[in-house]
Amino acid sequence: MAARTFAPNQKRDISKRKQFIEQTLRLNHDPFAFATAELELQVQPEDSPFFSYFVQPPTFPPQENLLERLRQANPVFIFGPAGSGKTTLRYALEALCRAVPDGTLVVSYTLGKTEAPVRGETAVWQSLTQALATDLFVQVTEQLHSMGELGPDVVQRLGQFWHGVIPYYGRNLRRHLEQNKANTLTGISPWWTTWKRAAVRYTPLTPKRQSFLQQLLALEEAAPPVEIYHSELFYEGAALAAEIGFTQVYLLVDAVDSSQQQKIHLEERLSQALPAIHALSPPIPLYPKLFLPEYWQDHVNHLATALGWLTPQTLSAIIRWDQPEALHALITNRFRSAGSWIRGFNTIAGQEIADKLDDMMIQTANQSPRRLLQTASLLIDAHVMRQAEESLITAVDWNAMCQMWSYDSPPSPLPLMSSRQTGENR
Amino acid sequence: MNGNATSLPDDELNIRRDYRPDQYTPRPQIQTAHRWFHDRKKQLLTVVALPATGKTWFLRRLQEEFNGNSIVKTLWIEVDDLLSPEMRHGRTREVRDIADIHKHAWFRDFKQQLAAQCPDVAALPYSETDDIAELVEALANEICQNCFAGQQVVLFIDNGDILSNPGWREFERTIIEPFAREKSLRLIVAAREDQKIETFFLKASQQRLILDDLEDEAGEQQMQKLAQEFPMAAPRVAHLLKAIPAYAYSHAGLNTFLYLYADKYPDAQPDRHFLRAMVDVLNRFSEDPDELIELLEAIADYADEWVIEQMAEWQSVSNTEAWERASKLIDNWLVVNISRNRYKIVDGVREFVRVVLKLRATLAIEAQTDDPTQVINGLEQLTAVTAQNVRQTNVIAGKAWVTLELDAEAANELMQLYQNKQLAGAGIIHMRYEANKLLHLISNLFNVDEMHELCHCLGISYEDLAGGGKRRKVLELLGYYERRAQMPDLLRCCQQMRPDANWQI
Repeated sequence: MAARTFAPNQKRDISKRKQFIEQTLRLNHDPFAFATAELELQVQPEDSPFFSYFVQPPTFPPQENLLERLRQANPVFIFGPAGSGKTTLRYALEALCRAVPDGTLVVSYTLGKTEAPVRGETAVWQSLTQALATDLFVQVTEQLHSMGELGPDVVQRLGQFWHGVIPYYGRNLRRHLEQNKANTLTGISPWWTTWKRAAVRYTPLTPKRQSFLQQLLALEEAAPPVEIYHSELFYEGAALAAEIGFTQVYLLVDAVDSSQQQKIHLEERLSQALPAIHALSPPIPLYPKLFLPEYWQDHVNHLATALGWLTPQTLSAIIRWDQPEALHALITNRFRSAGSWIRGFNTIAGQEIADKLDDMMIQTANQSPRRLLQTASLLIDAHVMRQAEESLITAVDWNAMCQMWSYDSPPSPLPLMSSRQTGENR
Repeated sequence: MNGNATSLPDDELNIRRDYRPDQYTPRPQIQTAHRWFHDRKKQLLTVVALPATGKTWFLRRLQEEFNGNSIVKTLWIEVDDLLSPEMRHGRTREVRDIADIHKHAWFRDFKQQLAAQCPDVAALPYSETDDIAELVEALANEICQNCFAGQQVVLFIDNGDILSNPGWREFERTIIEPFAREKSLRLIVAAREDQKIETFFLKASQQRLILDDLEDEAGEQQMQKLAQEFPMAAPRVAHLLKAIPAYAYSHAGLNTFLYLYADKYPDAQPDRHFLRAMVDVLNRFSEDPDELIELLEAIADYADEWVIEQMAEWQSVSNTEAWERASKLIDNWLVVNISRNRYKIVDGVREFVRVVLKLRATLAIEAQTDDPTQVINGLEQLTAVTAQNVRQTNVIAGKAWVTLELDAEAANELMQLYQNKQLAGAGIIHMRYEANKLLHLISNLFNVDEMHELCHCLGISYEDLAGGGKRRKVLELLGYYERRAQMPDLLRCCQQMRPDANWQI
């Protein structure tokens, strides 16, 4: 399914959509522009509304406070179909751990995105070590003010590790320091997007932080890039984390939705990564937290059993958006995040569909948040193609959306009433 | 007693008064707040309400109750204290950035107050060049882990509604978030409905408490307490209320306003000045109260609840224009979205607007009889309708048609009775509002300057028409020509100035 939410063969009229969103509805941004977490994070990256969209996904078995459960020091296995919000949940856990630190180093490893060109165990360690180094750099910088003094020796070892492992680390850090751009709401957090990490908290460029980053930059020459990756390098990073006060590592593993051929490759990669991590015995406890497609459930359960990760404390759950109110909350939350009093599409619907538009959209979504967002976005496109300055969405728009539909299982058009009944503008 | 659009709200009518325990009216939501505290499941309690409906006093009462518990330590932040005096008393909610200098001034005061209770706070390093968020984070840690260890620290944050949405976001990022990073600290924040908490980890640990209108008994209790506080104003308030029997004392801010207004103006009347002061006081940031009153006037004579299409039809404007008008009123807390696509003027405000502006509505009634007198007699027996309200009767195809003109409030009560099927005894089979199309056409097609031109065409003076706003003047103009049976003259001038409009009414 396409990531962007408008049909590929339809040209989205951006100016009309912008007019409808910003002038007619008076939203401060378009909360339905994209339907995947990665793209949504790019909306206002300096202070992304992405995290304020978050709605706890319903799961089987049900969890009263899923995020708190995820945050506990135990292995976690979350499964779900494509578009069910696994990546969003992974980002939410990462954001929670970084925004309210408690000694946990949270490392994000995405299967299928950051894959090295080489195969085999070396590639696994390359990806894992780069992920660890990147997250360690971001989280040390974020928490620098509350970490106490880091001695010159520690700074030197940290710098050498980061320069050696993170691609183009020195070049990118220098660029940011030279540009010296800091945002009043997030400080230097937007810098993290360079290293594919989200801005989740305000991190000011204080003299202490600036000095720390300058010291790191000065170490560039002393640290040639690492060419051979193995478990010792990962171990070294984890030991550094322990030395500066981190007490545990959460390894968040997320697999992107992929083609059949990639699935086989990713399954192979996962089968290599999990035993390798288990065999590592890092200097501080490491808890795997996996966010994986539902079809991997049996395979992963088999692996986890073999590794002894399935204990009574382990959380294993499947995301199931089978509660319409949860999907409705998703719509409401997005309008609210865009600074509006509008609570749902029913509020901006013409009279003849005002009591059922949200329900129709939720039915079309077929228990998929991504599909719900695609429906919302396409409906807005259909409406603005008719009349961007008109505030109310009508049955005519719904039917136009059905015609523009390019995903599977198209929704049903509505029988049309007279123009007066449909609330057409006079 | 004339207001003007650019003047600041009258300080003597400021309903945001210092908390007085003897004047507090108990609200049942306080139990919800106590449950939030004892459950310990959520870090943040957001108390949400329309402006001027008693959030501050609710928080003060809660603080008072918490202070009676030795295991609780309460702290209070008044957002005003982070602003410059000019910003604090400014007319518009345009505070987008809180200057570092003011944040630091507030921090020093706050820290000093705490140091009086916990000397260790004084030892925390401080420099004016330090980042405020990092200072707050260290302070929060000291408070919870050292100063008041063993106690539950609850931080109240009030008056955030003085900030624009960007200003609020910055306050959230640099002040609230660093406090909230101390997980053992609990927060209670008063906020406008649209003032959302965006901080992800706080939102995930948030309970929203909606402070509704006062219930009947509570409203009466508040009025009694106000009467004791303002004995001189009490008879004047009673006089004002006599004109507005439908008002049920449900709006805490409005109740206070009534007494403050009657206290200030011995000759208080439910007139336009009263209404302007009310709109001004309920939302001290409304940029053009007169325009808002005009918009209110245009919809208050219609049903209690409505949808955008009905509003558009009623006012002879497009759906988009109706949406914009409704949105403007919603932004100023005078209209609320009830559910789905339904709206209403805020309870309390609606009743005052209708009476003050003497709004009248026309109802067209269709009855299953060929005798209109029978319909009128039936209505007289069941309702307060009299023969004086009858404007027109007709018999078409064996059915009686009766047109009534009533006070907007009475018309809505009658419509309610019809909708509740309580008028079957009068043989009524259908009832609907009849829009005054001419009123809406002229109001929409002529601005104030063009109204002057229209009056010139008619040979009368615009200023001589009674009433304050344009719509009121149009009503007066219509009444003037109707009383003299000279409507064709008016229509001729309208046609001359707006030849493209349809004047066949």
